[in-house]
Amino acid sequence: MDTHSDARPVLEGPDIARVLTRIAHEIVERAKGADDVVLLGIPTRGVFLAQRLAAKLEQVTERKVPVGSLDITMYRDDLRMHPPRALARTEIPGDGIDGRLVVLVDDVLFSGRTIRAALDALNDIGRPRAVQLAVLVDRGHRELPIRADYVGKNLPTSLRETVKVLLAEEDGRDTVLLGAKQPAP
Amino acid sequence: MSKTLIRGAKVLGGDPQDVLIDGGTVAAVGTGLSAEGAEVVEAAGKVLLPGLVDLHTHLREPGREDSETVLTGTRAAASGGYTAVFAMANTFPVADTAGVVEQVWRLGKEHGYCDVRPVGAVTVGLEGSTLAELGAMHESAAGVTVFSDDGKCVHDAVIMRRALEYVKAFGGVVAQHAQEPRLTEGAQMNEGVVSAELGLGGWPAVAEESIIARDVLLAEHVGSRVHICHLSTAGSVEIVRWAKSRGIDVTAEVTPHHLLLTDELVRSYNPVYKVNPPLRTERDVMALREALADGTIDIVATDHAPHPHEDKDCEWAAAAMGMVGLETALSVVQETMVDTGLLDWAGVADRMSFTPARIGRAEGHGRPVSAGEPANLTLVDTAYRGSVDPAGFASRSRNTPYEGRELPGRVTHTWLRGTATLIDGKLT
Amino acid sequence: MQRHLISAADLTRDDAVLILDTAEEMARVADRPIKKLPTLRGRTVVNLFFEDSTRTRISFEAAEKRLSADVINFTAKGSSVSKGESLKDTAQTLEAMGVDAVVIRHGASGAPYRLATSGWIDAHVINAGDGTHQHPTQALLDAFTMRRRLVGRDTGLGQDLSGRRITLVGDVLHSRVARSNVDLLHTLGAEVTLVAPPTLLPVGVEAWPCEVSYDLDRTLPKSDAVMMLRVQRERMKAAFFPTEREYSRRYGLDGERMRRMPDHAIVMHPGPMVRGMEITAEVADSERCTVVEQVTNGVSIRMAVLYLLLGGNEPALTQAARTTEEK
Repeated sequence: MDTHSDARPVLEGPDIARVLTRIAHEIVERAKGADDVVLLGIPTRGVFLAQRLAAKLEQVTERKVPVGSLDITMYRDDLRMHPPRALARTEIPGDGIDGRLVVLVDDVLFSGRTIRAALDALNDIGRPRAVQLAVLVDRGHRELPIRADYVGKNLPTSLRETVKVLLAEEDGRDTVLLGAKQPAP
Repeated sequence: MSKTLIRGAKVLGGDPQDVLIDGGTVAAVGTGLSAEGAEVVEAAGKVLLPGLVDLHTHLREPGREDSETVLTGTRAAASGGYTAVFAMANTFPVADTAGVVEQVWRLGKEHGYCDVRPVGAVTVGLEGSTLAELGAMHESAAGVTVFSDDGKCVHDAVIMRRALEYVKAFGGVVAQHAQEPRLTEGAQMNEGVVSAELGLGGWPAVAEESIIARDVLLAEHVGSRVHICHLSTAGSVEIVRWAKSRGIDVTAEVTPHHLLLTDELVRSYNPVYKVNPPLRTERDVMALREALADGTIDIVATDHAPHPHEDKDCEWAAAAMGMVGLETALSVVQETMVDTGLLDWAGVADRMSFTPARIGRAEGHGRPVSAGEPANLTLVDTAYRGSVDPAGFASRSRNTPYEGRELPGRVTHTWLRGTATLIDGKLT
Repeated sequence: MQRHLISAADLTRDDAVLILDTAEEMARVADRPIKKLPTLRGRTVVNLFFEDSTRTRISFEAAEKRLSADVINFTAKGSSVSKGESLKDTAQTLEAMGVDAVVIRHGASGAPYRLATSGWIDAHVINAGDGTHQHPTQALLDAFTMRRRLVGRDTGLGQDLSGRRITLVGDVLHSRVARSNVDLLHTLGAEVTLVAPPTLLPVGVEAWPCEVSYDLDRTLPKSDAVMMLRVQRERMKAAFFPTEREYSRRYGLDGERMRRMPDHAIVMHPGPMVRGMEITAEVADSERCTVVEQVTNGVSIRMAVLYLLLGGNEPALTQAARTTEEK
């Protein structure tokens, strides 16, 4: 795991909780009640964010919101640039995604390539009514014509910087760190 | 013919002496011999041995000239320090008639690198059912004294008995390739821990040992002598030891590769290690070395078995069995027997020259290095160490298991009846 | 295991668990409307079968196609080992066509190893069964089936088979399945017992990391899984056992014997089964018999192996030699 010694927090735990609550309300608003929403988190941290978002949505709508995960590893366009990665779980909620509003949830939106892969993956699973994207942080530098529908925080960055999202479920604490890229060893 | 003075060689590993060759004969052995009129070979530090005799060589001609010919095979022999080789009978056609053995004998004589003593087949076509004309082969110009179906076992007990009896009339000897055929159907390697893991058909030690046990008893019963080819197991050693203790007239040979290599090498599935009999275990290797040292095993014989590249550059099951050995034999014996302290150079002379010549009745070979004897001599640089490079082989084939392996000793000179066949490691 | 999969013995515990975990994710693809992933697009895999094996070939082919690889099937019927050149020449011909991986089934033990190590070709080599040596993907799918049934589909993730007691029954001598399973199950921490008549056990089996027994009835109650190996009738002629009837009586699995197994224990068979010989119809058709599952799992395992060997710029399995084959 990276060290974040010289990284500085740009979002702390309470900020993350607050932006997720806001996003939940935006989803309800934009989706007119969110009764056909399915949340699909992109592993690893997108899944935890999707689960938190689902809990918030349930508070708002007082209905169960289907939540699952969508592993995009095998749809990546950079597979041949690295050794094969371990696969994560794709878990589509029982009623599927056909005709529903799928909200993809990820931690950081960067080049957009992950989301492109996610759209391909979705294509093999079903035909949603519409697909939207929620991210905790949008750090810019898009390489594809992709934008997020719900953004926790817009974070202007340079390419020499890294953005790292830590979540309690995986990392023991909630924070978003902005740091300098380590020089290649 | 000219004179050659070999100066300061350790004759049979003993104190430095000069050896004067005059014509085809050793004229004098001593110190401070005059070099007048002689070509001098400085041999300080080197060991002078009687020309080596190989009781078990496959020259492949006639029939498989793509792998070896009498010419290339005898050049390989000279390169390895040999002055006489016994050419096995499993050629195409099989050497089971006077005509074939005379042809092989004559080719050897013409080329002049090494005396070729053809081995006659015991049975017609090596098929194990009808005795070949053993007497006619003996009476031929080739004067065959050793008979063997090598490559195949004379498995029929009655045929074996008859052959043992029959050759007594002219002092011949049957050299048995001990391999019980039914026990080795589909066999690919030594049966044991490694074969179990690799899933290769097992070649049990008992397939060799049971035939040796039978044949020494047959030899005792009919009062004949029997020679066992390429003995490869600790159990075989025990049987031969027992037979000798009973006074049975049995002799046995071991190949250099069975003194050095084990079946662990087969894990590579590289068919260069595929050989008949198969490479055995470490325990067998140690028993064979000990038996060669104590005389239970009488001689080292190469079982030089050339095969073309394509017969080895394939999967294990499809590959031919055999290894070339003439050009590495002495080095392997030095590595396994001399450098380990099991045998001195006089012992090597015994196991690789005197005794094989005696078993095969190779006249003029295996003689002491002393005045009046035929000048069949081999000079060895025993201090040399180098890795084996098959590209430098005189043999037409390259199927050596030692490629890249560092081995000690190098034959620098070989003389056949006073004529150098190898000078400074180069064939003449 | 370098860049090839030749022997189950080459897999570390972590490699094996990674393959099983990956296969668990691959298995979920089969439940989707579109059973296909784009992962190996542009990769060419040849199924080089020198021995007839429709089942294994179809399983590999399904796996390759689900990962979007281009598939070439090459069945060299009859040529087998009679001509040594054929393996080398055929492999080189295929490589000249730009093949990235060779899935090879060959009658000669060690043929895949030779192909991978002789310098004949550069492609990845996956052993789909060689002689009586190894059949690593079979062992992996068997371990996968055991882990699912004995540990659990989700709870099994990341887990090995520690402490599970696995019994293999039948013709161990001629079985590459047995060799592969002994190696892999041992690596995964299972306790393996081989049960066979002494004639059908190889000399040297004592060096294997397993127990050996001649008594099936004593072993059954202590087994979590019992794998019945196929026994070919022709073995009878070579005196490996006297009659089919005697074999079945001593080493066959029938309903009565099955009921002596613990309730949770499963019956496995690599197929094809010889009903009436090593297994009765009652057992073969019972709930506890996983034969059909094993076939299904085979595709997932082979997808996992293909992905882990070919899915990146270098294999994901440990000890893999570094190699780059970007075009």
